[in-house]
Amino acid sequence: MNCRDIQDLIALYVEGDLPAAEVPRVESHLQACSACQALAQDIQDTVRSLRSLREEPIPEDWLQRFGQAMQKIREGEVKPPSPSRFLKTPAWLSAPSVRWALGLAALLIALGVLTRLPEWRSMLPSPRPPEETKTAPVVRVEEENSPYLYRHGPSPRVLQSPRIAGRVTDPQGRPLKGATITILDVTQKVLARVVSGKDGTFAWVPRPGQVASILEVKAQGFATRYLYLDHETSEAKEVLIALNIAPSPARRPQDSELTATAIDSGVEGGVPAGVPGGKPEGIPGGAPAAPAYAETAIGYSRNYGIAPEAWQKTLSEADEFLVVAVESPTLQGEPPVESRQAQLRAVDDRGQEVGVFPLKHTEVTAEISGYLASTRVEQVYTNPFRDVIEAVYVFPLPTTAAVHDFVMKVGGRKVVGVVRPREEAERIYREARARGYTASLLTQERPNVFTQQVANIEPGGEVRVEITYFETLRYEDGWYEYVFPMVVGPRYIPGRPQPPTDPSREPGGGFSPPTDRVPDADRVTPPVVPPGQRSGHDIDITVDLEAGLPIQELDIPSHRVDVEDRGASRRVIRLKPADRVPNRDFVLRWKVAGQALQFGVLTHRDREDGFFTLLLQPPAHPSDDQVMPREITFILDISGSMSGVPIETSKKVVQATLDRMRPSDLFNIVVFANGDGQLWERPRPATPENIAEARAYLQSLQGSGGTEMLAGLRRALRSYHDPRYLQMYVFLTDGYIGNEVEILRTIRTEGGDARFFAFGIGSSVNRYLIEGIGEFGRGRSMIVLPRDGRSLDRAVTEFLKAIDAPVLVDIELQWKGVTVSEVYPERVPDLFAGQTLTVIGRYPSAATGSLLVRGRLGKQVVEYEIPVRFPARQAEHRALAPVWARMKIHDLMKRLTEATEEEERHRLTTDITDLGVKYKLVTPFTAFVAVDESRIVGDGRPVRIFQPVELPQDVDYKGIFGEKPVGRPMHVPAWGVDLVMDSKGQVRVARVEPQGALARAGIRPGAVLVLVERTRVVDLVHLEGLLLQVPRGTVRVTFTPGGTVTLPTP
Amino acid sequence: MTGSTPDQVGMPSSDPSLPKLGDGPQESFESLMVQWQDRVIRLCRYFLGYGEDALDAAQEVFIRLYRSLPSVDPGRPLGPWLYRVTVNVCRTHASRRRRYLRLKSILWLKSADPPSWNPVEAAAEQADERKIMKAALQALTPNERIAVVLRDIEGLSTAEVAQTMGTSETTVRSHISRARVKIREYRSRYLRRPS
Repeated sequence: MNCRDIQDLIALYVEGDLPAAEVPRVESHLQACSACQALAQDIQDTVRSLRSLREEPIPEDWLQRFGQAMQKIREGEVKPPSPSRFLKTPAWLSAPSVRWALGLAALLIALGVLTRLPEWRSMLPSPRPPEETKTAPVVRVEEENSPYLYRHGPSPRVLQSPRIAGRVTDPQGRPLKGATITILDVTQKVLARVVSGKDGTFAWVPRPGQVASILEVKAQGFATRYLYLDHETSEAKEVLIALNIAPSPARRPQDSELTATAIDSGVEGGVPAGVPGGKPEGIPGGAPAAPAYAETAIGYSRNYGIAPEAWQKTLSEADEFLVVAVESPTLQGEPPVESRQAQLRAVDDRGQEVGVFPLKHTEVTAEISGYLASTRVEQVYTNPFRDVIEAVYVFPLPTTAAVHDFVMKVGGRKVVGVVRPREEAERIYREARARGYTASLLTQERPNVFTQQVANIEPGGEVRVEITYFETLRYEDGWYEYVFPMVVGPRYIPGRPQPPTDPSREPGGGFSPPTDRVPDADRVTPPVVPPGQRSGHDIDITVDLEAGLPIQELDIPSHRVDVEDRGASRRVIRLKPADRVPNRDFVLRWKVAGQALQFGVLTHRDREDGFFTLLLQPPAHPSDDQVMPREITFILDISGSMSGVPIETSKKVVQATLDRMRPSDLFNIVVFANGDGQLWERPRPATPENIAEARAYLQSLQGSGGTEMLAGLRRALRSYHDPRYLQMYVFLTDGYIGNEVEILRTIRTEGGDARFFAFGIGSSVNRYLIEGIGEFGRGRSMIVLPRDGRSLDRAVTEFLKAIDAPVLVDIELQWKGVTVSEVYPERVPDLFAGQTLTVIGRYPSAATGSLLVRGRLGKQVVEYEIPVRFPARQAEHRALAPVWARMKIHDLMKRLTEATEEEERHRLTTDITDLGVKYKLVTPFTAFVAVDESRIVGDGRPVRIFQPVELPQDVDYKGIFGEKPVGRPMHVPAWGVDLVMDSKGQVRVARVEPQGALARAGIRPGAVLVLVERTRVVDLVHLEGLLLQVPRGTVRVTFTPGGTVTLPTP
Repeated sequence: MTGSTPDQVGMPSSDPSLPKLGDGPQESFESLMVQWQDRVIRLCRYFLGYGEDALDAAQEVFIRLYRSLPSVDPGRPLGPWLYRVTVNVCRTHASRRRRYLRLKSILWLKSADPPSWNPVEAAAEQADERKIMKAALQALTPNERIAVVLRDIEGLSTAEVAQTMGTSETTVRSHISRARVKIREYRSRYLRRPS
């Protein structure tokens, strides 16, 4: 019997499914054949792996859907099924299925399927009539959109909670005057009593520290109504019921020490929502509060016609009881209660939830003249807290922005920032911070990622930081383009985490710790606002565009804007108020009349230095069918950040490209996420059959997992290539990685003669990487905005045009009649059809002459001349000096990326530092610092708050941070604790091990983990990152309640 | 094959772990639902994929259960009946929509690189393996999938699988054997280990 025949039998044998008669045959073969042994092992692993599918969670909306279906069934059927007893389950805290059960109970109650609560069956005669037969009044509750403020630190305190207002009516909608509304907090303490007025309305303004939780509404002639204000979900929560009821196997409680635990449907950990900083003393596990809870439960039970005696009896026998708040469409035949509750956080004018974070607003004002742009970015930081804070914000700017001016405004004072070598600037900033001065520091983490730190913002205070940068704009295929990036996308960090060994190093505060491959990962991964929420930061952009020539077309594909026409060549563009969420690039494109590049040559010269820039646009390249056949390898990013819209866009780009390729071209597809793979072992010609196969393959791709781009690139480079073809690699990615330099260096060192192209796919791609791939790979980069269909067509057309026409190579610049120096880029890159190149340099003295551009286009030599005039004095275009320095730095940085010799690296670093200081520019090695020494604001130990950033538009939170970041407990063995994140991102203690470090420190379940080393924790993902950023040993962690405790680093 | 009428409730089973209807009529629909919803939804998903179809089918199964409750024989285990109804309902849904076999997701390759850090990577690794397995299931024929899901995921014996599917044990064994070999191939293709 050969191996092939026995394979089927082995598959049965491994799990004991083989009929006994066949077993000896298989066993004897297995003894002799090692290949089949391996196969058997493999099948066994496969079955084991299949079993893991048992843990699949059921979808969240299942019960709701089912309930709806059941309701329909019930409409046609009268007979109710027998009552349930599922509320018995005791381990409710840890078992998600039981939370489902509770949800189900609620739902079935709401639908009338479940008519009573079974544990009480013995106590309640059935069916029991309602305790009170009067109808209850209708109560409508609304909150004012005032933010909910609280103080951090060892003694947390509510500073402000939302105003409660509402209206009481009878079921017919007539106002009820004189109804008494008793407002209680979560411990049942009466906070206030108010009486409804003539129109049935009432209002209550909480004093600092007061948080309303329950409203008891009494109106003459009506039943008493109880309302539970749920701060967690802001959904209509009216029904509050009860219970159970599970004697703890571990101990019999004394009546005097009943454990009361309240949950509502959204909160885990037994903590009533609504009290930031955790539960009031005594709940849960606190004897004193238990009776109060019992009483409330009795009150709620009245809403359901459940007798109070039942409660009391049950309670005296119970170890725990649950208070379950659920939604109910109907309650004893009343109209639905419309209630909007007080929320823990403010909402913005469009009703989106807004967190309380320091950065309130960014105001962007740009002036464009021809292809030079000057942009002022003003960031407004406030401090709504009672402690002095330090705000840290990681934000993007264009890759070649020359960040030149920096001003800090505190109160009425203006402090102009200075550029210093980075280490010195950081030292100045830290010293100022330690002395309690307001100070700010602007550093560059990547060419397009910057960090703004603002220390010692006083409570209630405001600090404004104004940054000005210059840039030359892209001009390609007849269009100018201005881009303002708004958000640093969540980057994947490869490598192993490396906790810092240097205790003086400050944590960068990102969600990723440093790794061996990305040592500054913590500085480029700002925490992300949890889904469905907003950071409270908005942005406004005004662009004053002077095109120089009549504007023919204007296109703003990314945002809704108002455009003001100020003559043929001038427009003022403003963001519409509805489009102020900083979650994607602002893109402005325009086309001017006429072919000529009016702004071809720009100059600036003061007394000593002259600077010029010019746009080099080669003559139209004829499309050439004779070009050498190409082999194109698509390299697709299918990581989690690409899941959903971006990856679908990538597929469209590849398909559109394939459809327009020549059948003589070869192609292949390589994909990468955590791992990597490829379509075919060898590239195949672009025939209809192969394209169809590729299309089917593309269809199957979905985004998930990490972004091991280097592995994907290496696979592409090492897979089989036909040497008779021109090699081209085409990336499709959002570029959300932290190891850009590794990729760019690899392209340069291992890419050989191949050309590399990149399609940046997404609303806010990492343009440094995308543009870098084209630049380092002698190719081109294109950006595709998923929501702009034209950008897709345009990008594909640009790409095909670039590869279909011959490339202008070996470009030389010869200056005639003029002297120039330090012209950048030093190595003139090859130019594709439609592409232009910005050249920038210095000139010592006035002169008139020309620039001769010579290059090779296929077999042809191309030559053309541009007249240039360098004036002795030119006051305009002041930006040219810093822009020139920035371009020189860009060139040096490119060399630094490739440099391996320590000596050369050191020299380049020194050169860049000197340029930065001389021309007042932020570089990787120079930073802006500003200190207001007029006042001492704090004690030098501000609480650090990292501004969380929005998730870029069309990026899927789940794709990056996992399916259920909320509610997934994180066990920290070193502390003896389970931590859980609630939907607001707060990290709560869910369970404390009796002998653990946290228990010994007196921290109890329900406490919120607020600070790590005086740094505010944004959410659980952020906490994990932070803990890996502090040096090993001990870490100081602040809980509310509980205060600051010193714990071992996990 | 139509095996979903209440009079077929209570097929004999040797598996004592299969739940019984319990002490009589007071055992409620809700408790049955809580006990079984995970398994039923899971089954439906493996048969019908992850779309709406699966949830619709699961819903139909429970509605059938609800309607059959009065005639359920409480002395016999519910499992075989419910599995059988589920399989039937899924088959009906599948024939209604031909496209359900579409290969949905693919290509989750394990990296040969050392595991790298990311707050969600650890979970994602496992999720990737699951994704591969799920995709592999979708690559089987309907009968192979039903057989292997019942046997290897739900843990029924081959005899019980045969009863649930209304076919012979020999047929079931050949389904299971072919399914395991296919899944194993699929898995080794997409789940590369460090060499």
